[in-house]
Amino acid sequence: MIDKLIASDLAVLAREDQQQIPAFALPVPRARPRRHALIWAAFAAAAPTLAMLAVGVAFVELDVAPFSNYEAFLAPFVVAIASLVGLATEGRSETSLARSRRQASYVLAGGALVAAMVTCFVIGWPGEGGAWLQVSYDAVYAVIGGESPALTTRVGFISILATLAFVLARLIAGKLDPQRLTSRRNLDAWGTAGLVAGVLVIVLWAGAMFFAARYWPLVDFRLPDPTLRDHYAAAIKGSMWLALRFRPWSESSISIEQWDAFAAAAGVIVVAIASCIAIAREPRRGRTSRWLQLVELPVVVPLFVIVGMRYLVAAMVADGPDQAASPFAIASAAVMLAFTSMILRRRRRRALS
Amino acid sequence: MEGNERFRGLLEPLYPQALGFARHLSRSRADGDDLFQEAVIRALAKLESLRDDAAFKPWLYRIVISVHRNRLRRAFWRRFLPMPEQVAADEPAASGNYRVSEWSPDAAEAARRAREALAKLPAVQREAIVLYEIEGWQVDEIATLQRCSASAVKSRLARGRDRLRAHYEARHAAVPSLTGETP
Repeated sequence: MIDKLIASDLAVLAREDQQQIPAFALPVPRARPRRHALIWAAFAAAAPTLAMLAVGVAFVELDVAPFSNYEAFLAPFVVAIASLVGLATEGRSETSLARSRRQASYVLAGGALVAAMVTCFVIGWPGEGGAWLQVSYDAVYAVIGGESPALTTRVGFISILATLAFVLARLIAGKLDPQRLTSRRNLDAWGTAGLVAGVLVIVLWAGAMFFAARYWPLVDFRLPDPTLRDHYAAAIKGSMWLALRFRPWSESSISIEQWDAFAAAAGVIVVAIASCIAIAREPRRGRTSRWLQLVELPVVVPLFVIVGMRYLVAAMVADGPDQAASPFAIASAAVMLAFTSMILRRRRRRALS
Repeated sequence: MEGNERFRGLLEPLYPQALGFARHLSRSRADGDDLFQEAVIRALAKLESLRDDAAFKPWLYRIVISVHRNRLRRAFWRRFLPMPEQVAADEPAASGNYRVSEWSPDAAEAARRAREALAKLPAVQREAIVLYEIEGWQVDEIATLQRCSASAVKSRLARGRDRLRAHYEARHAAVPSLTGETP
């Protein structure tokens, strides 16, 4: 009896699926977009990012924790929201996606967003000594007695930098693969590498800003320049000092544990960003080699970033550039650059072929 | 444009059948439509590689199967979401609750049952069952399509039927018509 029921159900299914057949229409490949349309599309593609940056800056100005205490938080926030927006509009101009696929995209992107925020919060909160939710500042600022007016400047600076990075990434992506800009599909192999690299820049600079603004009054930069009061100039100079492995003169102002906490937080932020990107990215096709797929996984880059940042921080804080950790930092950075370069070249070859 | 016209000429007679095949393989009609559209776009892009127009049907079916397997691979996380069932439940029945056979008086329910059971099968067994039981292909043809031996197809069919049977016995043992109350 079971067999008869199965046979009957299959027959019904066959008949059912032959119902409601939509009218036959051959898909028409879209025409190649014109050049000026590409330029406008680049700005249109950056619009969600800009909007989210504005929201993030507004959060900071309104003293909404944790934005007001940890500006690097803006980066995963913006990327996650941008991913969400990208998923929400995925393929709208191309096909009518199955409803389940759209809903799954929403759920995954929303989950990634929440995960990024919670992770940053959990990592950052202990490092802040429980002061995370306070509107005012911690003991470091209490020492100098007052709020730092550089806060707004830092946020503005990071926002500008983030915007430039994203627009640049989009423009380069459009140069390599014009279809990307018009399809607004989610991030593919190039987009993954490009955005991870772009976001990495943002996080590193945000870290520099974080350091410069927080510990500026407690270290001797030997730069008694009145232009230091200009916050933009101060931030840039502080970042340059840091990039050149500047070593704080007053080491008591910052402990290795604090650096470690910051490095860990920054690493987790990058992982969270990469997770968002990995979830949002377009599945790549046409791969022939399994190990290459493994190498090109988006999480590989953040792994090297974490290792690199860890040793870079150790090199900066402890013994200076000639410290034993430096080679590891340099090696990690080199591997990451080689990886990005490999993906870019492969992508370019594919685009040109 | 010539390619488009050639493709149209080849696909149009097969269209309902091929779309139905894609729907059979999928967990919902919407997923099936999506799968078919993706397969058609791929077929259109690769049309130049088709030398013999007479082989269009197996060629297209092969692409549908390939796209279907790709989608299964990248849909790992979707298995944790209850979406397919919701979508299936939301879909209007194509033909209403008409009486199709004595074993399946409720068409929508029967189709849902069959789709759910097929979704439990591994991809290769599902393909074999759909091609053999619904589409009416021969074992040799399925073997060519699935790129395996005829005995492998027979094995897949047997295992697929066993799984279907086990699923029906576990989930639908209380269907009235199974208790001897044949209408």
